[in-house]
Amino acid sequence: MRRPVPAGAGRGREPEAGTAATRQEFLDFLDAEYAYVVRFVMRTGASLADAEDAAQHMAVQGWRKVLRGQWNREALPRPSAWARRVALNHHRAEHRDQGAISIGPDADRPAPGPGHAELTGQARDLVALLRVLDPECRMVIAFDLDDIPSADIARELGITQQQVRDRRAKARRLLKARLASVTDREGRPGRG
Amino acid sequence: MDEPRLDDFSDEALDAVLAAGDEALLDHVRAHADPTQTLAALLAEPGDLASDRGAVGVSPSSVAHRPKRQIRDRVQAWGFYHEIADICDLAAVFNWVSNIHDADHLARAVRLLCVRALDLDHVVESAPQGAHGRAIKVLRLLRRSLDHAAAHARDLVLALGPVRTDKYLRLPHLSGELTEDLGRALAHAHAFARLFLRSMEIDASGLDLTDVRLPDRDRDMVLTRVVWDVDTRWPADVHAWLQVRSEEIEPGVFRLRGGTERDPHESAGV
Repeated sequence: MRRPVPAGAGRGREPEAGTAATRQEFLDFLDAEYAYVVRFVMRTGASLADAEDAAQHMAVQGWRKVLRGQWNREALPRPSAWARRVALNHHRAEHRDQGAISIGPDADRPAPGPGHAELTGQARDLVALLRVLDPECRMVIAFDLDDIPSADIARELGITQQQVRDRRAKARRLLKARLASVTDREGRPGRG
Repeated sequence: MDEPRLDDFSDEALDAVLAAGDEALLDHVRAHADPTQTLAALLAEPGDLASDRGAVGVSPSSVAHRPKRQIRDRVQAWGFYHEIADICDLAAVFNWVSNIHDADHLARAVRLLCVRALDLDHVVESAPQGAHGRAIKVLRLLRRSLDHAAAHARDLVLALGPVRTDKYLRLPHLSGELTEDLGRALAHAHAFARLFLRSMEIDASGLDLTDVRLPDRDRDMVLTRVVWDVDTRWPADVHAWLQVRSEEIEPGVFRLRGGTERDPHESAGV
């Protein structure tokens, strides 16, 4: 599930702005991170198409930074967290009018939203499970699953580290309650 | 039943569930997402120099000059449009008192379309110069519409299930949403297909195209601006079809004339 940030992703030597080396460095970063950014956005409820849209927006923003000579350690010390925040913000802006996700009448068994028809098995269960969270909590869990440090989450979301911890605790409490509820009903194993 | 206790589910068990789901989600993304489209879009960004393409080793149109493949891609793009049109026809005759078997059939057909839309990725690579970015965008809109249609079709099946007591309230709404989704998908598929059919000339001179399947439907669209010569080999029925619809643009070289039959007495003499 967790993986290291690719070496040299905006952290290596400081090539001249916009040079072929910088561009290649960014493309290596994008190649390594693309699927992870798409998955990150999908965790927050996006369909694959929407998540790819968000990832592409992130890529374009990053590319512009490359062309402006801003893809370097000083200007962008945490490229992985930055990429996720930019993609997520784009997705949220594009779907602002849809408001909060409604759990609907089958609150005990939330289903994945539109665009998840093709998901199966555990992936579908994960998306459905995360839908029990409010957007703020879901975002913290989405960052957590990519091993983004709390300080970076706080910085990217514009909140304090204490708020990150509070949202994480609340999210995990709700997720455990949901899983316990499902386990009770379906008699699945899995309790610690 | 007793209320579940939170301490019944440990942190380790929660992490295990999240990790398993997350791995499966990543597998799904890797199977269906295509970063090459994003890379191609970057290279179309203002400020990029033609010489950069060599530097980064990516050429979005590197395969765009293969006439045989271009014709095949046109066939696929146009064929996909007709597949959606067929589903639209199916949805149009579906009404909210239909049985669950019909709804299930419809839902399966839409899901199949979602999967088939993934095959259009490689078609984008054949987009004409300057239309590549638009092709990516249109394809994304097409997929989004199909995603929504699949979700509504699935909800329709669920609403028709025996456990729902509010089915007669939900069915008209869901049918309407599904029809709108499919209508949008059809429009996007048409725009996608036209992007490939009208924008560039394809030189099929000297090619052996006998193994290219060219359906009767929209053959004139697929072969629009295709240039061919006396050495081009076509399936027999297509050759006969082309002979009465082509004009000689230079000695021994022909081009389809807007899909209308010409005077048989002036037909291409090949």
